[in-house]
Amino acid sequence: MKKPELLCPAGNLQKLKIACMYGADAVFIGGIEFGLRSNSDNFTIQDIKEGVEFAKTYNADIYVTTNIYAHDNNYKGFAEFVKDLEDAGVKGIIVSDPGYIEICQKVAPKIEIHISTQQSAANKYAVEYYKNLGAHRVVLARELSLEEIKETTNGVSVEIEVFIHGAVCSSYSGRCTMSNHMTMRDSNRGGCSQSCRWEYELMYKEDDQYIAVELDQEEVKFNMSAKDMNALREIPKLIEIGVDSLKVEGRMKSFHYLATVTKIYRQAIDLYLKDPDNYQVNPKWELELQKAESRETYTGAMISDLSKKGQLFGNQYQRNTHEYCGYVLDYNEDTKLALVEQRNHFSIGSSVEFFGPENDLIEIVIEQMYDLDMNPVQRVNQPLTNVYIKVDNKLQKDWLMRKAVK
Amino acid sequence: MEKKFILTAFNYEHAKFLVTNYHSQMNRLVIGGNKYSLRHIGEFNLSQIKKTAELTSINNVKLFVNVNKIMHNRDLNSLEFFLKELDDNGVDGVTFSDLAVLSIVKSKNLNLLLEYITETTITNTSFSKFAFDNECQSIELAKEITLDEIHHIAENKKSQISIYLHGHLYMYQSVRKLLNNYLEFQKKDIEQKDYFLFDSERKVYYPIIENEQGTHILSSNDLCMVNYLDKINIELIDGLKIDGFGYTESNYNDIIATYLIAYKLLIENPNKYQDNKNDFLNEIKTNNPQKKFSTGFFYKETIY
Repeated sequence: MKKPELLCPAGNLQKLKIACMYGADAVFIGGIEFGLRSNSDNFTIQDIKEGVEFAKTYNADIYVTTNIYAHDNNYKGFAEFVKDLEDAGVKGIIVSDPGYIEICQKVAPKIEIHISTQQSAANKYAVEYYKNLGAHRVVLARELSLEEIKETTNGVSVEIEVFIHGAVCSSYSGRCTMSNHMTMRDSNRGGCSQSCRWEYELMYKEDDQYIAVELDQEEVKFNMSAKDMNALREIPKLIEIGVDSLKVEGRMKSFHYLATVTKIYRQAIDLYLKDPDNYQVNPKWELELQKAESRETYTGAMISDLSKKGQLFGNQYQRNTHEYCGYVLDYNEDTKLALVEQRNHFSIGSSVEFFGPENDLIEIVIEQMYDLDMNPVQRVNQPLTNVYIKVDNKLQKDWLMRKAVK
Repeated sequence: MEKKFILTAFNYEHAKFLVTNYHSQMNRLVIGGNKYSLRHIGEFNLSQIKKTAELTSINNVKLFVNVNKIMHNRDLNSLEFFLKELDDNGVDGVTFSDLAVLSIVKSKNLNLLLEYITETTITNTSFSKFAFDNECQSIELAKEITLDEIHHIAENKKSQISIYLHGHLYMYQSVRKLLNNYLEFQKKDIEQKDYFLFDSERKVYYPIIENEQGTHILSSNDLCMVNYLDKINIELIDGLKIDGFGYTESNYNDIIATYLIAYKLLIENPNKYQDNKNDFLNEIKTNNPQKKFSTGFFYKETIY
């Protein structure tokens, strides 16, 4: 049985480190230019170098997304950029534009070409064609069922990557320009305004008049919004199929999301590989994933279900059940004090959970808290404030603290 | 006069009408009507395709068949069979977006010309090089780029270049059946109606269509460039497409007639075209009061 790569997103250097620490085999990041997600933090070349070095200590690879569909004025600096990536030790680029592919092959031949899902490769002939064009890996379209993933993976001699978790386009990727038409923002160059998540009134035309469709629930407007992907239950099948890389979406997502999702999939993959016969999805994993999600999730296309169950009608912006509120900078076993950097307010009496890459959750109610001069503190409202929290269980540096959202 | 126009046909009789009347200005006739074509305007079975191919052939017009959907594995065997049939029945070429089509045509040595059309992603010169390197004769540029960008690509082209000159502006396609899903959620049945999505912020209506291929959403405007033909460096462009999707056959025929007159005038008497160009636009507007027209992204730079 082949061990698939767990590939996780990172919007900045700190998140890249978290992804590595929490179990990613590879991390994908974006440069300042050339990648979709103009609103993500994105990495300078210096950050990328540092990221590659850090990832090495965890045996993790770094890929860089350069997956816009360029216009002719988007080539300036690209050759230098991929050359720099090669020098920095980046393993591959995720790319869809034929011009970018050709430049990369010419000036940075050591870098692997991974065909982005923006190309919506949905069949084995197309995948094989990309291989012949020099692709090392193809990221499949998110419309495929497990059966189709299997046929495609078995039918070709190139690495296959599939999305397993996170937000998805409800259209074929690369084939949606609603954002261009509605807001003048180019979806295929990273400017997507997410018009699919907006609300529209469904009308029909009769005798040249627009008439609103009568609805059962007036308040629930039309949208194209898909539930986020969640393929936790399909991990064994994806491993059995022999998919090379399992990808988590979300370069713009939080630390909390990244750490939680990475950790759970790491556990699921490792447990299945270790003992496939007795493997079961741990119900705690699903609860954990729920704590970090900002939308409802569904397995969707992978289980051949593109029905209304996969649509987010009405309740689009469900808050996560838990929020990230602190980062553990240090823990002193003698004093049992954890030094925590605040990311969201908490106070004496708050129920909080600590978790690291491998441990079970440590749940406590905060009873004692001190500032750096050891004066007692009641509440911490200021972001990035450092405080000591008394925690009897042993914590470790780089663990996260979260609390339930009321 | 070089033959540049690319027209679409509703059915065999319509194809016959177009070819008979306009063969001297028509580069290509494009037909859909098969399960691999997106947003086609009429059905063509194999015998009709064959008859159309005979017609185009004697009139020196190329016949292209749209096989432009994104293919899944289940499509591949029948697609291969279909492409062979097209080849056997005298079709000149296919328009495609999925590389599976390219793969089959090349590996089976089919004698079909290839035009690469993805509608949204062919945005730069490298696609023309890609087409050339992969034995495709032509590409149709994305509708989301500016006229300056079109010219830049055309100046540096390695393959033929077509542009979309008139017709609906597609902006979204999903395999999901969004209308059905929503109406089911609302405990309603989908009906035989023309559905629209109303955007209350922009006060516009977007046509939404659902068929066996999923959901298609179109812009509130159709592209119309009849009064800007003089701005396009037509020398550099090999194909000018006027698409019939979303029109009645007779309205579409009127639009074609207007464009062909306008184009002829531009070539023969540019000053007179200048005097008349707004009349051409008004003619199209008057004949299609239900439609709104725009110049799409020809003069609109997107941000990102």
